[in-house]
Amino acid sequence: MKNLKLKAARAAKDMSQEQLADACGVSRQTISAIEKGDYNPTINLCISICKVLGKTLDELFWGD
Amino acid sequence: MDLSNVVIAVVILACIVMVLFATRYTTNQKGFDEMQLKKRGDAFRIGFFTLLACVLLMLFLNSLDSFAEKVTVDFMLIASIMITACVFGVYSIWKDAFFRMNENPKTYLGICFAVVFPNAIVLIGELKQHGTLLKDGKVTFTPCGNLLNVVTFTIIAITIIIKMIVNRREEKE
Repeated sequence: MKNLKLKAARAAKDMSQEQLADACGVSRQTISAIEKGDYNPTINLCISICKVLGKTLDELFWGD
Repeated sequence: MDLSNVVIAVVILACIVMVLFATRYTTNQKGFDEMQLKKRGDAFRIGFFTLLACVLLMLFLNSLDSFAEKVTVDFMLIASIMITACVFGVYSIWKDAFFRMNENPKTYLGICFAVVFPNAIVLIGELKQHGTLLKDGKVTFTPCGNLLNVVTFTIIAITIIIKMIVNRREEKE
């Protein structure tokens, strides 16, 4: 399932996948895979993404 | 002590050293992120089962007299290793798990071409000299091993190029 919330939050911060990946210490392909729903990140990476984007885990990773 | 027993002992020892070496460096792979490590694990698993399947197939084919007369065991062994390397390479490149973060794939392209060209020259020379790649009607380690090198590294190089194009398109989106 695609993670559109993550994509929207990244776009709202005007960040590219590359910038978000650099800030989280992962590759751009990993961020792309998470957004596409091809990869389920570990809780550590989820927290790291949330901190960079200024969001909570619920806001980005909890399904409706 | 029989010489063959010594050879078997040396091979087993070499395998143990290789496994220890591999596990030491695969459990602490710096430069790969969590998704890459997971995909690399998948690639290693697929590679392992590919090698297993190839060796079983090799044993079966070698038991057939008609096949064993035409293909040597050393060629089949190198073919199994090359097929495994090819499967691991293509899978991990396609899943973005082959290169470390921020690593330039062009370096590996250079390595591929550095392997392909000398092997291709040997092959062309062999074909010009003898008109065939067979030796005494048999598929042997040389020069058919060179053909395997050319095929394997060409496939890996093509995969790297296609993946680079796909990634570039993704970055633009």
